[in-house]
Amino acid sequence: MKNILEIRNLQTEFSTEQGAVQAVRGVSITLGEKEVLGIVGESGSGKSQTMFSVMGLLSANGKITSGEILLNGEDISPLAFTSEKEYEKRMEKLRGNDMAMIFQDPMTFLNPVLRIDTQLMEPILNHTNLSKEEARKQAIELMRKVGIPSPESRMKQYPHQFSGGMRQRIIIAMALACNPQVIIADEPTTALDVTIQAQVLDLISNLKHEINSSIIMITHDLGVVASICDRIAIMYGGKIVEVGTDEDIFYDPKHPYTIGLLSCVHNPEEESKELKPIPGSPPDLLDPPKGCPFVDRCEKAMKICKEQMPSVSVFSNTHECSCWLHHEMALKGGDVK
Amino acid sequence: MMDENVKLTPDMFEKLPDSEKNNEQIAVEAKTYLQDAWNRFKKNKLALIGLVFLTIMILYAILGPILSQYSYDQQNLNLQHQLPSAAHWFGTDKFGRDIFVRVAYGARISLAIGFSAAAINLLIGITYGGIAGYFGGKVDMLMMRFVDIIYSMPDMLYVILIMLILGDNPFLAIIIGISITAWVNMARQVRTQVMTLKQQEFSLAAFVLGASRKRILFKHLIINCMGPIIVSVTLMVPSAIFTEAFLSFVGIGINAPQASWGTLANEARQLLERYPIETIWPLAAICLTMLSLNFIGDGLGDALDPKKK
Amino acid sequence: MSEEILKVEDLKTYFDVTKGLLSKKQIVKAVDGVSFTIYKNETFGLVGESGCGKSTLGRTIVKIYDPTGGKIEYKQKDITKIKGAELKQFRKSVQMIFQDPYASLNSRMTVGEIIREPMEIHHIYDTSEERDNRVRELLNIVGLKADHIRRYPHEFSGGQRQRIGIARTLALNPDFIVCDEPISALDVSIQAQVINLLEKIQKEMGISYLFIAHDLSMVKHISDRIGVMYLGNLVEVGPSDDVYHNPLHPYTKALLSAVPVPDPKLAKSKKRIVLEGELPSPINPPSGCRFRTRCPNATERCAKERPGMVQVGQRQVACFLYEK
Repeated sequence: MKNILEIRNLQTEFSTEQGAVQAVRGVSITLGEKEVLGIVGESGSGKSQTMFSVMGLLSANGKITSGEILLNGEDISPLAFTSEKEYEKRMEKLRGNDMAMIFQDPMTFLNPVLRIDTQLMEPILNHTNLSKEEARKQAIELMRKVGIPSPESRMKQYPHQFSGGMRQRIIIAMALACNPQVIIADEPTTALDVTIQAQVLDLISNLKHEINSSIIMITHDLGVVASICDRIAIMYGGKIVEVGTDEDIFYDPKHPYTIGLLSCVHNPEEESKELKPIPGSPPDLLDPPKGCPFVDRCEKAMKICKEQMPSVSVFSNTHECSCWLHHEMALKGGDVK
Repeated sequence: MMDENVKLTPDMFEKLPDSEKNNEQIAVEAKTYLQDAWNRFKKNKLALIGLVFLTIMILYAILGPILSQYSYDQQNLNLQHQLPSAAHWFGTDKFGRDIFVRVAYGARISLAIGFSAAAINLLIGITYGGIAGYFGGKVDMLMMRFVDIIYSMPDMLYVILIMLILGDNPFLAIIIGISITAWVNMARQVRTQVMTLKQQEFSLAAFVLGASRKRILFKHLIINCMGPIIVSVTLMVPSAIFTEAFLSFVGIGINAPQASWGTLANEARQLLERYPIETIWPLAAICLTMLSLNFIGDGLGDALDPKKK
Repeated sequence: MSEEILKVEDLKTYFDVTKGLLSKKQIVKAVDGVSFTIYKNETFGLVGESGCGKSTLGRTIVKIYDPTGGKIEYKQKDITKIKGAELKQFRKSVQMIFQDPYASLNSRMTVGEIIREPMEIHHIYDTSEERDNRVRELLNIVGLKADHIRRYPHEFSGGQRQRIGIARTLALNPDFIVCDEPISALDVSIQAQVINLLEKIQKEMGISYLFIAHDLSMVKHISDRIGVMYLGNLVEVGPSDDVYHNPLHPYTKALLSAVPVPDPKLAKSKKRIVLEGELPSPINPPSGCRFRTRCPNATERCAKERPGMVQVGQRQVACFLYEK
């Protein structure tokens, strides 16, 4: 499988009054063609900031300090450009055209004083040579594709005349406008109600077969990733702790954090089990731990976990995990199941 | 990444005792709200300069007349219109009075007017606005219509009217005159803040706990809008000083031989062409004080805003 | 079943949202005729999507809002219109845990002051040492450290703040707590901490809960019985396992099928009942059954009459499909 996007050892920092917050601490991940990759993590795990780094949408105090971001082999991290201006110029070309983003709150992305048709036609007109009439036709087609009834008349309405679910559909339509290679969706259904979320998830999983884009889905909801993702990366404390296919992660989790995460969600299809919460709180990334970020909350933590970052253990060509428990010396001790 | 130089030994793979995990630990040292705010205020250099200047001005107002050998009304007709010298730092005026002392004395009156007007506004504004905002509904409607009425008339009119009524005590008259209208803005501001805050869960929580209305209003709501209130009080001081200066300048303020910055500027203005230097001192005092208060207000705005964390 | 602790009969809470003096009167019927009972030591889960009135119902029960109609009975006593000392006594016994751990604590008070406040209001203990000791004890119960007493809320994480909020309600030794989406703002790994804590204190102190949430899987886990709300009405009430495994009301069916399951094989093969359209406005709700505009089984009768609650086994359903 061809890799569309490859992130290598990405590090992103935010300067704050208290010091530098190391939000992303050496993330490496690949995204294959037509793949849906889920990035799961709690707030502050760095999942959104990783993707904001890719899109060049970090806030003013954020900065990529090292790493490469390869889009079809071209390094698009700001470090690869000679100047800020060059980088911005390149990103403007890429954003919307090759990479699109869907946000949690559609209203932050829609301009409340512009009609939907203007907003939807804009990316089409910007990135293609289509005439205004053709662009309008395409916009109507897109709205139909994302399941907005009577698109011809609704095109002329303003964002506030749409419900939350409908707005999210419009955002999806905008993201699809130029057939981007990568669509990054940042918690696209978190703000929606369950039944509306189901509509949007249905839409995304149907679209997945129709379009040629690869999708990165950032979420904290394990149910959402289970429903639509092919491959899943679990992030914790600014690092990816485990990567695998959906079945690797859900049926054979290796990292204690993944195991913990799965045991604190309740599957309503099963009989009630006792929830096993993970004690404590996530690490403070102002002063990240020297060793494994999960050490303080880990039941099976060993002395080495506090001192050194674990190396990556490979279980199959899809499944990897960074945890000392899978080191040969720990396995010898027979302490791991 | 893994450090290849460290040799892994079996004892490193022993279980980490729970005592070495720092769960529920807060790394940052405990800081009160005020310490936090002061740290942020310190970062704003202009505000800090403003604070230093204002402190100097207050010390000058208090100590200037005490330490100087001259008094504000001591005339010396042999020494009219002196230029600044070692004996008279700011020179003397048309009656040979020492300008350094007169400006310091003016600072007493101007600052006193500024701060007392601000304090009165604060008190009335918070109570009135707090009550209107907290009770809402009809109470709020009536209270705010009354505010609208006060607001709809030009405030200078009140000030001049009160000055006329309380003519023999111009100091008090000016404070009352300024306060009678200026609290309106404060009340409006507090009301809006209280209305938003009372919907927030912390005040609902206090309500459900059975807290009295007074407790909710003062312990929960007002204290949480203190930040913006303090900022607007800081900005109200210069506006009161300015109003007083204006009134004194047009001749209906403080009576001679007492002096405020406004009357000093007015006296000097009459001889502006011949002795321009005499106007500089009161004007500089007004400008610099207003500027520092504005800088301080700005700095406080950033420092007291919890969102700026 | 054991003794009832709370009984709500035909409760209505309306809000006047008329804008301006001369506009047409507009009333939001947030809660429109809801009846149910909660028993002692029980957790009653209340689910529904945003705008269904579940939070308004919770707030009406703890008397933040005054009901427009109906009756609330607490421990066999009508509390719909109580005032003064009686109300204060009620407040001591009935508490609420809020949704947003960032907004529900006064940021200008230390943790100690926050937890001490209910004791000050109700004059529990005489000296401040006794109160401080109780604060430390409460912090310990919710899994925080005694030396956190002088800290300010902003120094804590969301889950820790929620536990501070729980300690504050426990300071009064309440018998009944309304939990208004207490975990929806928290991270997954923290949600389970809070749920387990709530279960622990229920067991130790014999507290009954009304647990309001939109996350259906957690509600099922914690609740003994569940009520499903749609647009101001209760559409189905029953034991939580029954409701989950065999939902009766068409809305419950759709709602449950929409829950994403954390199991890829199941989730990808699961057939979702996708509801058409959007939630109607509570200002002008549909006639008859509120759900008829989106219901796959709607008939003409649903538009004309409002369905009453029908008893099916241990369950009650407001739908004509189950009338005999």
